[in-house]
Amino acid sequence: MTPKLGILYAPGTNCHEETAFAVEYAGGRPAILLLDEVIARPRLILDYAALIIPGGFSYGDHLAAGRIFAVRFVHHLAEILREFLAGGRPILGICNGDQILMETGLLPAGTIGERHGALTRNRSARFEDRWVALAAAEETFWTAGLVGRPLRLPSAHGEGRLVVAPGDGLRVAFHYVDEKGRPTEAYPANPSGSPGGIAGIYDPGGLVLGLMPHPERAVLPVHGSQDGLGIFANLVRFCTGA
Amino acid sequence: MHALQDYERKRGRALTDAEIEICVQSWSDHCYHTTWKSLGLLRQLMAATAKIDHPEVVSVFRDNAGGIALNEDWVVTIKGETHNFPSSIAPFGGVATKHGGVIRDSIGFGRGGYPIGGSTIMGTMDPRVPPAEVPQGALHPAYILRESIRATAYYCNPMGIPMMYSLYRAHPGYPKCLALGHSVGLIPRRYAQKETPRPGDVALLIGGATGRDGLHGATASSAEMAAETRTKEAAAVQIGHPITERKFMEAVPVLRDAGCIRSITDLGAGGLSCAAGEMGEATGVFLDLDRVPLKDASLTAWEILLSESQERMLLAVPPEKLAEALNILARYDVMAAEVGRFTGDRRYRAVWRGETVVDLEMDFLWGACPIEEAEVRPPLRQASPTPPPPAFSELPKYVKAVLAHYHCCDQSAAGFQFDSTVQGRTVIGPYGGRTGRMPTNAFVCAPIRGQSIGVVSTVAFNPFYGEVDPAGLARLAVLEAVAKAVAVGADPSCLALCDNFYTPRSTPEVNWALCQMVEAIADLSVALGMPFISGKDSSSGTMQTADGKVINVPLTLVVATLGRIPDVTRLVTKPFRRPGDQLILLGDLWPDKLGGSVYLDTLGTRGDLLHDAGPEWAAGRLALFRRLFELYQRPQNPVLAASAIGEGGLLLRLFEMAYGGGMGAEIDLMAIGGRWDGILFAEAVGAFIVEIEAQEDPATLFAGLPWRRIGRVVEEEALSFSYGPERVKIPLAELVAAWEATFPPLIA
Repeated sequence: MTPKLGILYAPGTNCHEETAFAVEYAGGRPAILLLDEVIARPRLILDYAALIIPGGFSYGDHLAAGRIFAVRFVHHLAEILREFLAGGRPILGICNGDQILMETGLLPAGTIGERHGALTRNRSARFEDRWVALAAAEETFWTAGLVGRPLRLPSAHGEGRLVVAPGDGLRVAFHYVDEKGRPTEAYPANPSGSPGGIAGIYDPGGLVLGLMPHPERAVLPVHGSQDGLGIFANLVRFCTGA
Repeated sequence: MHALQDYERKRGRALTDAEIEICVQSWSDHCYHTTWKSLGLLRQLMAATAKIDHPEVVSVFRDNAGGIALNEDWVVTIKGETHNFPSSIAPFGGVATKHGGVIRDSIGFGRGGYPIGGSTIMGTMDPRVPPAEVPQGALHPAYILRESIRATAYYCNPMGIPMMYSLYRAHPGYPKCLALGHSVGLIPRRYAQKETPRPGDVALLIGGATGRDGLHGATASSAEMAAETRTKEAAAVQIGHPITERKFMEAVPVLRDAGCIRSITDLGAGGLSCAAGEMGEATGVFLDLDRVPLKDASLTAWEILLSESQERMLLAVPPEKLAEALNILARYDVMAAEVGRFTGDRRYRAVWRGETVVDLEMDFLWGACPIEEAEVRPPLRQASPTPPPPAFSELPKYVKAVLAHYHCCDQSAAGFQFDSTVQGRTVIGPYGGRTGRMPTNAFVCAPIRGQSIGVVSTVAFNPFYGEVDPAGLARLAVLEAVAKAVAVGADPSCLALCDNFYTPRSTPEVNWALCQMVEAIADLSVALGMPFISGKDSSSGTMQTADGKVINVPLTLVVATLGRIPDVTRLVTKPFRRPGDQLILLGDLWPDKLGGSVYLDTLGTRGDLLHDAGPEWAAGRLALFRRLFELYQRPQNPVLAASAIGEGGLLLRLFEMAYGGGMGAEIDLMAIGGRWDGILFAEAVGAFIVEIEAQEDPATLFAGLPWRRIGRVVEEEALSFSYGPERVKIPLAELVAAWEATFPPLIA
C-alpha cells in the first residue's frame, strides 16, 4: 500500500510543493496539512505514516528561526506527537523544519518542550545559497544505500550553525564534507560554520531527522543531482514497512 | 492644472482634496507615462508586437505583465519594474519594495499567477568613489549597494522565489540609481485573461493594512531628485514585509481555481486610488473608505486612497463567491476587507465618514490628462577616440584589469545570498561550473514538475553603450539578451522580450535619443520575430545637486528575455568539456569597434564605435541563432559548450569557460586578425564561442555563417595567446585572483 505522508504548512512555509513532489516521486502519497487545521483536529496526524516539516520562513522567523511554529507545535500537539512517535512513525524536518525541531526540543534530545540547543546565525552572518556535499554518518533506515559516498544537495539558509548545550550527546546524521570526503568546518564547503561539520542530526531513537540542506531540490535528473531522492525513497520504504 | 480647473468649472463645484490627489497620481509620469505618450513610443513598440503577431503570445502590455504560452495548458509571464527614486534615498526599503511590487505583478497577472523567478539589477555610482565626489543629497554608492543586497535577501528569500540573476553595474551618472527587478510567473492558460468586473462584483482588498507610509510615491518618483529630496519625501518610502505577501501568494491560486477571482490587480503606485480606478475603468466603482483596514486611525480620505502601503491586492469577486473567498483567505491567514463594489455608472465614487469624497467620471480620469507636444532634437555628438593598442607583451596587465573591472568581476558574494533553488524547478541557476562560481548568464527552470519543457530567462544591461550611440545600445541590448538565451538552448522562434528604460528628464536631446532607441528595438524585434510583451519606462533620471549641478543618468535600457526550451535535458552549458576540442568563434568580431567596452573604461575613455553594424546586420544574427538551435536538436548535439560574447569581450567568456571547466585554452589571435586588444576585448555581441570535438568539421556545421577556428581546449589550467610570432601564457590562478578580488571588499 502507498503510505500517506503529511507535509505541514504554516504561513511563511515555502518548500511544501517541491517536498510533496519529492514524496510522490519516491512512491509515497503526500498531503499538505495546514498547521492551523492540525491544531484544530490533532488526531488528524495519526492518519499519516510520517510527518515532514518543510523549509521556509514560518511566521516570518522574526523571533528566531522556527520559534513560533515550534511554540504552537509544543503547546497544542505535544501529546499527540508523543503518541505518533511511540507508534514508530518518523518525522523529518528540512531547513526551517530542522530549526523548528530544534526549537521544540525533539532534536537533539527527544525532549519535547525542553530545548537543548539551537540552529543559529551562519558564521558568515549571511544567507548562504550553495551546493554542498554531505556524507551520512551511519547507516540507518534513512540512509540505507547512501553511506560511503558524497551526496550533492542544494543548501540555502541564514541560520544553520548548530549550537548545543555542553555535555549533550549528539547523534549526527550528516556531515558537510570536503573534496576528500572528510567532515569539514571550512567555508564554504560548510556554509554555516556548523561545528564538526554537522549538517543533520537524529533524535536519540533515530525516528526524528533534522537536515539543513534540501534533499527535495535534488530529486530529478534535471536538478543536476538525484542524491536527495534516496532519502525520500528510504522514508517511503520505511513507512511501507518493507 | 488647467485641465483640473476646466473640469471644476464644468462641474460647478470645487474638486475635493481626494479628487485632486487622484488625478495628479493617475496622470503622473510614473502611472501615465506622459513623456512616452507624447513621443508615441509605447504605441510604436505595441505596433511592432502587433505586426509580429506571434502565435504563442498570450498577453501584451495591457495586463500587469506579458505572457507567452509554454504549452497548451500553461502560460509564463514576465515583468520588470524599476524603483529608482526610493532606492536612491532609502535603499533598503526601496529595494525591498521593488521586489514586493514586481512580484505582485506576477500574482496579479490574468486571474492570478504564481511567481517562479526573480531578478535584481542595480546601477549605482562606482562603490569605490571617494565620499567627497558623491553629490550632496545622494547616498554613497557603497551604502546603496550593501543595503540593496541586504534588502534583496530580506525580501526574496522568504518569498521562496528562486533568484534568476543578479547584476551590479556602475556609472558616474547614477547618484539617482537604477533599481530594477524582474518577476517571472506561471499561470494556467485558461486563467491568463482578466475579465472585466461586472456591476455588483465585490471590491475585495487583501493583504496588509493601509498606513501613512508610501504617500506620493508615484509623483515623487516622477520628479527630479534634488538635494533635499531625502528628507522631504521620506514618507514616500516604506519597508516591505515579505511574509504578508507570501501568504497571499499561496492563497491567490487557490482562490483562482475556486472561481473566486474575476479580476485582480496589485496596489502599487497610487495605491487604492489607481488600482480601483484601473479595474473599474469600464464599469465604475464605489468605495467605502471606512472599511479599509488601517494601521493608523488618523488617516484622512485622500491618504487612505493614495497610501502605497505594501503587500496589498485588489480583487473583483463575484458576489456569490464572496463567502467562499473569505473562507479560503482565512485558512491562509490573509486579511481581507470588502471595501466596495463595481457599479455600472462609469463613475469613480468614494465615501468616508458619511461624506462623498470622490465623484469623478472615469472618462475624465483616464481621458483628460493633457499631453504636451515633445520637442525632438539630435544632440551634438561627443565621441572620444580609441587609443592605439599597447604592446602585446603587456597583455596580462590589461587582461587582469578587465577581469577585475566591476562589470566583469566575480559578484557571487552577492549572488550567493539569494536562494536560487527553492521551488525545486531550477535547472541552470545563476552560477555553475566546477567551483559553482562561474556566472551562467542564463536561468533555466522546468516549471511543470516532472516534465522536461523549460523556461529560459536572460538579461542584458550596459550603461556605457548609450554614451556612444543610443540606437546601437538598443540593438546590442536585444542581441545580447537573445544570444545568451540561444546559447543555452532557447528556441529562437519562441522568445519574448521585456524592456525597461531609465532616462533623464525629458529634453529635446533626450527625446531624440529615446526615439532612436525605441525605433531600433521595435525594428529589430520585428526582424527577429521576437515580440516585446512587457515593459516599463522611467523618464526621471535627473538629479539637481545642492550646488546647482544637473546630473543625468546614462541612457539606460535593460532587455530581458523569456523563452521556451523544448527539452531541458539537452541544454548546453559554458564550462569547457574536454582537452583537444576545437574552439570556434561563431559570428562577427571587429577588433576596431571597441566603443563602450569595459576595456576602454579601464583606460578612462568611451571610444567612438560600438560593436554594431546597423539594423540589417543585427537582423541577420537570426541565422546564427537558428543554426545553433538546429544543431542543438540533433540526436548527437555537436556543440559541447557555448557562450554568448558580451561585456569583457572574447576574453571574459574564454576565462569563464576555462574556469568553469577547470581547464585552459590555446588561442591564436591571428585567426581573427587586427589589433590584439580589440580581438580580446571588443564586445562582439551576437557572436558565440563554441566548443566542438576535434574531428568535427566546422565548415559543414556552420556553412554560410561567419566562423573561425580560434584555438583549442587544453588540460593545463592556463590561457595562452599567440599573436604572430609572439606568445603569452597566463596561469588561470592568476586570472582568478584578479577576477575574484574586486567585489567582496565592497560589501564586507
